[in-house]
This record gives sequence, C-alpha cells and structure tokens, in this order.
Amino acid sequence: MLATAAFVSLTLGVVPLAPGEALGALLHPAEASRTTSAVIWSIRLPRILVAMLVGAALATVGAVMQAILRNPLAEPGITGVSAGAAVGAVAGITLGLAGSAQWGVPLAAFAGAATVALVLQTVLRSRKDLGSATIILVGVSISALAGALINLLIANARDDALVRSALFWLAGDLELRSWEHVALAAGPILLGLAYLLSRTRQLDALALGEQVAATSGVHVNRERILLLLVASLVTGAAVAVSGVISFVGLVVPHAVRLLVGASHSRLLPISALGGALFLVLADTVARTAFGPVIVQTGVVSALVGAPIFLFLLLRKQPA
Amino acid sequence: MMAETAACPFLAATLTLDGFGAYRAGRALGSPLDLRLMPGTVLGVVGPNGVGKSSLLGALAQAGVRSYGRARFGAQDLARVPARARAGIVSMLAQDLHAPEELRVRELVAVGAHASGNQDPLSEAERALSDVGIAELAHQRFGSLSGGQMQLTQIARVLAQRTPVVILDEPTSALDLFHQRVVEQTMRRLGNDGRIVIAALHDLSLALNACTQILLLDRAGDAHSGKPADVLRPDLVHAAYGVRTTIHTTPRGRRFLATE
Repeated sequence: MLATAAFVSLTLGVVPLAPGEALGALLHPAEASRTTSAVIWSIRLPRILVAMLVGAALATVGAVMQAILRNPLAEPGITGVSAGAAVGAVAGITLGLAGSAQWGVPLAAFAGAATVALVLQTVLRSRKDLGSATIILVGVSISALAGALINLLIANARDDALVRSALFWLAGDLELRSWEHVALAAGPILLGLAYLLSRTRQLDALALGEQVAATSGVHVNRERILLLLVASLVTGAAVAVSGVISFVGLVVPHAVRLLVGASHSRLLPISALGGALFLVLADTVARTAFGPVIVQTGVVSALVGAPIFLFLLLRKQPA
Repeated sequence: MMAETAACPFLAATLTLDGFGAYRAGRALGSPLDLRLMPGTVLGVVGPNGVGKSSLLGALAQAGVRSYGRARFGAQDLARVPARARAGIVSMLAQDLHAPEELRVRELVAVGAHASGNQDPLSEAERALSDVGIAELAHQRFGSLSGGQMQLTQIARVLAQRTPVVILDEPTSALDLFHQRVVEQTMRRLGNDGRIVIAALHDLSLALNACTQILLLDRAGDAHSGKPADVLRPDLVHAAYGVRTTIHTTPRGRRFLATE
C-alpha cells in the first residue's frame, strides 16, 4: 500500500507522468527523457522519501509518547517537543550553521527537542500521571515560549537571506527537498526507530502506569529518559528537514490502534508504515490538489488532524 | 510431583523487614516496621484512610515510593535487586487500573507473564484469566470492561507473573460479592502454594477470613501485627478507626466483623 501510494505520488504533479513512463524512468533512468528523469530523480523521489521518513518518525514518536505519558493526546507537536526542535533549528539556521556544517541544524533541533523532553520528564516525576489538561497546558506554555524565542532569533538574524530561509522552513513544508535532506534525516530516524521498536515490551508495561512498570522489570526513570531522548533525536531529525508538521503523531497511532489494537509490538511498526503512508498522501494532496494556491504539507496534516484531536479531547472524560 | 514443581517454580524464602517504612512527601510514615513473613503468609494491611497502607505497599514493591530501612527476600535486599530480577520476586496490583482502551485483555495479562520471562505468555495469560473466572473476556478491549472486570484483569496480570511475593493494593475495591469471594479464595490459594501475599484491605471481615496475619496501622503511627482475631480486637479497632465493633461467627464457621 505504501509502495503503491509512493508510486502514484511519483506520477502526479505539475508535470503529470504516465505510470509506464514513471516506472521506466525509475528502473532505467538512462533511457528516459531528461525532463522525466529529472522530475523523478531530483524532485519527486527525494521529496517522497523525506515524506516517508518524517511520517514514520512522527507517528512512531507519537505512539511512544502516548505510552510514556499514558494519554492518547500526547504527540510531539502537542507536547511542544517539535516546538523545542524548531527553536533549535531556527537558532541553527539564523546563526548560519546550515551553511557551514551540514549536521548543525539537525543537532541544534535535537538539542531543542531534548530540552523539552527533559522538562516533560521532570513534570512526569512530580505529577506521576498526567491528565489531558496538564499535557495540553504544558504543551501550550512550551509552544508559546518557543514562538517567542523564534521571533527573537529571527529579529536578530544577521541578514535577510537567513530570515527568509528560516521562515520558509518554519512553514512545515516538503517543497524542494533534495537527496541531501534524505541523507540528513535517514540516519538518525532509522537508528532511532530501530531502538524504539526494540522497546515494545517496556512500552507495554509503561502504558499500565509507573507502579505496574516498576514491578514488571522496567527501570522506570531510566527507561523513560532514554525513550524520550531517542524520541527527541528522531523528532529533531524530522523537524530539521521538514519544519513543524503537527498531528501526524496523533492521527496515525489512533487509527492504527483501532485497526490492530494497542500492543506495542504491532502498534509501533504499523504506525511507522502508516505514518509514512499518511505523510506521502498528505504531501501529494498538498502539492497537487489546490492548483496555483501554495498549500504546505503541514496544513493538510493539520486539516485532517485538528478535527480528530478535538474529537478525542471531547470524548475523553475531563482530567 | 511434577505438577507441583510446575505450579511452584520459585524458591520459597522469608520476607524480612528491618526498620522498614515509606516516605510520603519527604516525611517518614509511621514507625519503622520489623516483620518476618514466612512462605505461605497472607498478610492483610488494614487501617484508616491516610495512614500509609498504599505507600507501604509501593515502598515494598520499590514502585515509585521511597523507603527507609531494609526489606529482604531471602538474602536479597529488594532495594538493590535490579528491576528485571525484582520482577521475578515481587508482582503488584496497583490502585491505578488504567490501560490503553484498545488493549486486549489477554495482552494486558501477558505483560505479567512477560515480566517473569514466561516462554508462552499468551497461554499463561489465559490460564490466569480462568483462575479469576473471566476467561471469556480474553479477547475483549480493555476499554469495554466494567470497573470490576478491569480489576480482575489486573489481578490476572499479577497471577500470570507467578512471583513468590504478591502485593495487592485493595484487590476487592471494585468487585461484587461473587468476585470478592473469588479474590479471597485466590489469596488463600496463593498462600497455600507457599507464596507471600501482602494485601491492603478496607473490608475487615475479608481480612479476618482471608489472611493468616494482620498488620493494623493507626493514625498515631503505631503498628500492631499478629493473628487476625488478636489484632482485629474491638479495642484495637476502636483505637485505630474510632468505631465500636464486634466479631461474630456464622454457623458454618465464617467470621465477620460488625459495627455497633
């Protein structure tokens, strides 16, 4: 399904391609016309791969955060982890790290995300179990602080080019993603996801609460910190190449739980695939469906995600 | 003989508390406890609200409650045993019964079986579910259960872990009369298996019938321990709860405690 969606996405766009033509260019790039080959290999394929990586990353991190915070509303966007990554990334961009060191921006994004993750861990330690209200309020306050810091960074940027680059990136879009972005995101995301997928049993126990986890063989605080740091690494890498795309980590695990249940050995891998699929579809819609109007990938994701978020919030008993 | 070995896969040992107690909000709760619990002990922890029954249980299980003094199982200091190994010694029913709504009952119970390294967690889970009389719920979503069914599911998780020490924080708080009896029988059966059961209870009649030993905590921070009929005496109960009680016996030998 993911492969089909990716392939269909490959044929759609400003320059529409016949499926045969696209397949030919994919398998035998040398024989295809230069335009087709360029459209496929330089524009659409890297963009689709970035969408897949970011989608898988955000959806899996969403499922992990929901287990740790024991709340189906937790996800990197809503808890402010993505906002933390954005502060880091904007700092990286406006300080000119993007030009000098390739890894500067993702590292700065990771540092920002990890800072927020540690704040969450501190809140968790003091409050034991977090109700929806607490999670949302923590997320709101962190996002507000992040927004202020981003404004500060942009106002003080050294030149206009850096400001434009930061603003463009902030929109949460996959426009103009290149192989460089694929290379940048692939390492941390794939390694991080591999780690998260190896902790499914610990996540099953954590989802039952601190006392159950602690008596089920989980070193609760160490496990939570490690999981949150790896989740920050993955979120940081995703945000560094795509900006802030919210709701993927909310919508996808929710749908997957309805389909295959909440056991993490199934929930995590299927959320990863589902997240990749969701973002490829969202991105395809974003770049094809609205004609001359420019719609960012993050807007499509929010259009789908915000109503589902509200639905989940209203269905929950007040906490 | 083989069957008995399979039902009792752990090493029975004594649980010893030396000057042990829990902290709550940075303050030591109650006076330090010195207790020796032999294999087969079913200890009922009773006392009015707020005396620290749950904190004591959480501290014993090393489940997020800080403790002072020492609690040893055999020669092992529970505070120093790594979490993985401790999951083979102590299991716990917490008061917090929540779980992801879409989790299947059988999968939740299997978390207990996994924790002690069971090779076939799902079969163990089904066995534990029939032990508490809810085998038919195995494939239900947790979110579809009633409060009592949630509690029984969590008790089944604890049983599936098959630990020599079993800690139950108010195991019957959500149960109907029939299932209270099931849990009471389960507690006694665990004791007969040579395990040590420690349960916080509000139902003093249940404590009288299900337990071999009672630990009564009162508001002054004092603790009384001993045989159920010795500790749940009207004067001690009155000192702890401020309520006059009498103990009666039914024609079939079951005791119950009535308030006056």
